[in-house]
Amino acid sequence: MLAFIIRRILVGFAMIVVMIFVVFALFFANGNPAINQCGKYCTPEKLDEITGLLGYDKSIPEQFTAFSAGLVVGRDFPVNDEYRAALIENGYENRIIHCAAPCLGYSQSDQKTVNQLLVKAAGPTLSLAIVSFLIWIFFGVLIGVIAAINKGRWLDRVVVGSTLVVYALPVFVIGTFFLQYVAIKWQLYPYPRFEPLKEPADILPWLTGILLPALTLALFFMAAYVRYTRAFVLESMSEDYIRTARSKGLPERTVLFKHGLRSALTPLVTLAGLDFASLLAGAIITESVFNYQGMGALAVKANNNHDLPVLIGLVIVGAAAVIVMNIIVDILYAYIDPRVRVTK
Amino acid sequence: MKKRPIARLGAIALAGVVITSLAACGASTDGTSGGSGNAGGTVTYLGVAGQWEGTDPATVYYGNEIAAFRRLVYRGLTALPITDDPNPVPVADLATDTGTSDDGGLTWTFTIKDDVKWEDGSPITGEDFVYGLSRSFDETLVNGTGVGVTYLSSYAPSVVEAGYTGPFTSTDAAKAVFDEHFFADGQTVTYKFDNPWGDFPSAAAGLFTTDPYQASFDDGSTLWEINSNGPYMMEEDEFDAAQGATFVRNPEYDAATDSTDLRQALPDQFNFELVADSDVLFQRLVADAGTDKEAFSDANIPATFYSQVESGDIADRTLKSTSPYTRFLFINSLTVTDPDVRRALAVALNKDGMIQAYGGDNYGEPSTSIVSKAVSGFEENPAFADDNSAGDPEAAKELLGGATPEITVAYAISPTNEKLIPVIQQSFEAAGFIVTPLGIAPDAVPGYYGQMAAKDKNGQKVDVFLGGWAADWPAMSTVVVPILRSNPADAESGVGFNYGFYSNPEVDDLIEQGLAATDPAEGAKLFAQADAVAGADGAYIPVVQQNNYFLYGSNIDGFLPDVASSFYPDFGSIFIKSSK
Repeated sequence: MLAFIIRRILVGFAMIVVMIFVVFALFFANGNPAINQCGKYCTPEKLDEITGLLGYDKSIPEQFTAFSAGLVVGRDFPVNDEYRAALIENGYENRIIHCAAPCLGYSQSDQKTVNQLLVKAAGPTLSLAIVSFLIWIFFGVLIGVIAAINKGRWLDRVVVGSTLVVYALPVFVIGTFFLQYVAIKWQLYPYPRFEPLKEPADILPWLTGILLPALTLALFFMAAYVRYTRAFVLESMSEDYIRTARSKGLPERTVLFKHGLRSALTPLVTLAGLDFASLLAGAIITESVFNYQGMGALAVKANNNHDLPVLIGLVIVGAAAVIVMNIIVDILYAYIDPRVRVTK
Repeated sequence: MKKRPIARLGAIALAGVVITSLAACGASTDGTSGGSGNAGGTVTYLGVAGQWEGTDPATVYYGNEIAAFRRLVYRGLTALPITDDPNPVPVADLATDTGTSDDGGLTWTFTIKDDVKWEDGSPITGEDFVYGLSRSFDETLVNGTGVGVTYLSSYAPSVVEAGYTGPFTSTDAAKAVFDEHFFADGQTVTYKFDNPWGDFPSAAAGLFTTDPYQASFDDGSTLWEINSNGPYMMEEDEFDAAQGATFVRNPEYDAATDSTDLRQALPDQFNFELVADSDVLFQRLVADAGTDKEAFSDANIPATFYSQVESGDIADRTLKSTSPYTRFLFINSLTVTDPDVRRALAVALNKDGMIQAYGGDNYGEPSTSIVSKAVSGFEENPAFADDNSAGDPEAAKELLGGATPEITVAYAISPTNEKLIPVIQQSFEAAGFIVTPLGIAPDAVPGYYGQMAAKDKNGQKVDVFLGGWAADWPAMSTVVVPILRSNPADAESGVGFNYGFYSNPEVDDLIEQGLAATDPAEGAKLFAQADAVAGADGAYIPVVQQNNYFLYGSNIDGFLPDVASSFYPDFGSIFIKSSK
C-alpha cells in the first residue's frame, strides 16, 4: 500500500511539473504580455519601459528559468535589476517585494504577489467548496437511496423529475433567485456576505454568510448525485450477491446498507473527489453572483485585467488541486475496494 | 463608448434639485464634529466591486473616489466647500490660506497649519507635501492614469525633461532640478512652475497630486493602504477593491484644525460595501430594508430601474442633477480636412435619437459644447446653439454640395454603443455620407482609447469616433485645453485628450491667453472663445449633456451632489436622520 501511495505521489508530481511548463509556454506564446499592463494610453516608449520593468524583454527560456527558480528559492520584485538597484541607491529597499518560495509571481495591477492573492482567495473558495460538498453529498446520497428503494413509485418519480429540473437550471439563475428575491426582495434570509472563520465565535456568521451561495452550488451537484446514487444503488441491488444476502435471510436494511450501498459508493467516491477538486479552483459563477472573492472571482478579475501571472498561478493551483485529489481518491478507492490495490 | 476616467468640477444648474436639509437638529454629541445635522450612526456607501483602482493618493483619479476620500481621509492644501453654489471657490484645508503668488501664478507659497496630524499622531510637515508631489511624477505609481504627470509636464516641463521620475528611481541630477522647483522650509511649502498656473489652488483642491505623503509610510505595498489625516481612518489594513472597507473615527483628527464648510463628519462610521453589480446595488436601495435605510450610492440609476423609482415613496429618495460629463463625437482632423464636411456631420447628427439610445431624458439632454453646464464659466457654443437636435439632413446635404464622402465611425463595442451606432449611421447616410462602422472589441489591446489616441489610429481608417470627458477641477481649462490645444508636431499619440488631432493657431492663441489669465472669470471667457472658434471650425460634434440620477436610503439626510464632489454625493454633508 505504501509503495502504491508513493508511486501515485511521484506520478502526480511529474504531472504538475509538466503542467507548469505547458501553462507557462501557452501564456507567453502570444507576443509581449507587457502590453496588457500598458494601460489605455499606451505609447511605444511606455511599452518598452514596462517590458523592461516586468522582465518581459528576456527570452522565454530565461523567464521560465526565473519563474521556476522562484518556485524553489523565491524571487524579488520588481524583477528588473537596474530598477531594484535604483531603489536601493535611493534608499527605498523596502519597496522591493520579496516573494518567498514557492513564488508563483507578482501581480502588477494589484501590486501583490500571486501567493498573497491566492491565499486571500482561498478562504471563500474553501468555505464554499466544503459546505456545498457536505450539503450535496449528504442530501444527494440520501435522496438518491430513498428514490432507489422506492423505485417506480410516486416518490421516485417526483424525485427523478425534480432533480432533472434543478439540474437543468443554470447556476446563475438559482444564485440570482436566492440573492435578489430570497435575500433582498423578500428579506427571508440575511444578505449573504463572506465572514472569515478565525475562531469558534465566527462559526455562526460564517455559516449564515455562506449558506445561500453554498446551497446554490450544492443544488446543481445534488441533483446529479441523486441520480448517480439512485442508478448505482439500483445496479448494485440487482447483483447476484445481493440475492445471496437476501436468501440468507438478512434483513432488507442490512442488505441495503451493508452490501448494496457500499458497492454503490465506490464510483461515487471518484466522482465526488474530482467534483470537489474542481471547486477548489473556484466556482466562478457562484462567486461572481454573490461577490465572494474566491479563486473563481480572482480568475474573472485577472482575466479582465489581462493579469497573466495571476492566471498562471490560478491554473497551476487548480490543476494541482485536481491532481492531489486524484491521488487521494485513488488511495481511498484502494481502501474501499481491495481489488484496486496494486501490489507486487 | 468608455468613460474617460475623471470628473471633478463644475458649476451646475442645480435648479429643481431637492437638497435635503443640512440644517437639521442638534449639534454634535461627542465633540468629534461641529456639523449641523445629527451626529452618530453608521452610513453605508454601496458601490460595485472591482471599480476602485487604488487608494494610494498618487493613483486616485476617478471623481467619485476623490470625492469620498477628500472628505474622509485625505486632506489637501485646499478644498472646495460643501455648497449648492454653482461657483464655489477653494478654501484652505491643511494650509493656513489658499496660497499666495506674487508673480502671476509662477510661484505659489503655502503655510501648513500647526497641529495637523497623520493617523499615527505624527505632525504633517511641509516636507510631507514636497514628498507627496514628488510621488506624482512616478508613472509606476499612478497606474497608467498619470493625471499628475500630465499637468506637471505642462506647468513644470523642465523637471520632467530632466528625467525626474519620482523619489524612488530618479538620478541625483534630476532630483536637483525637482528640488529647485519644489521645496519646504519648516511648514512653508514653495512651488515654482516654469509656466504660470493661475488656478493652482483649485487644482490642489480637485486632485490629489499635491497632497502630502508620509515618507515613512512608503513601503512598496501601499496601493490599497490608507494613511489618513482626515476625520476617519480605515479599520482594515487594506481597502478591498472587491468588498470595501470600514472607516471609523480618527482619534488624531482635530476638528479645530478643519472647517465644517469642508467636513461635517457627522456619522461615526462609514461602511464601504461593494456588491457584485448595479442590479444588486439598486435592488437593495429600492428594498430599503435594515441598514440599507442608511445607505447611498454614487452610481447612476440604470434605465431598467426607472419604472420602479419614479413612483410612490421611492421617488422621494431620488435626486437628479447635471453631470460634469458630456458625450461627443471626435472628428479626425487629419482625415476629414474640409470644414464644410465637418460642419455637415454636425448638422446631420440626430442627437435626440442618440439620447433615446443612451436611456432617454433621464440620461441627459442635447448638448452644444464639449464643456458641461456644470463647469464654472460655461457658455453655450454659438456654433452649435441653433442646430436641430433631431438632425437636419437637408442642411447637411447643402453643405456637402452633392458630394458623398466615405467616413468610418469608430466605437468601443458595448450594448449601449451598439444601439447608438445605427442612429449615427442613419443620420449621416440621410445627408449623403457613405458610412462604415468600426467596432473595437472590449478586450482589444491596445484598448479603444489607446487605438484612438494614436495618430494613425492603429493603422485603421477612422474619421469619426465616440468620446466623453469631464473636467478635472472646476475650470474650463481642464476641458478646452486637453481636447482642443494642438498636439506637438512630432506627436504620434494625442496629448491630453486631443485624439482628433485638431489644430488651429487661433484656438491655440486663445488657450495660451486663457492659461496666462490670473482672473478665473477672464480665463473662462477666453476658453469659451476658443471653444466657439473650434466649434465653428468643426472640431467636434457635441452630443449629450449627461445627468446624474441618484437613489439613497430613507434614513439618509444631507444628500448633496455638489461641485466639490464632482456632482457625486458629498461625503462631508451626509448624515442619518433623527429617529422619528
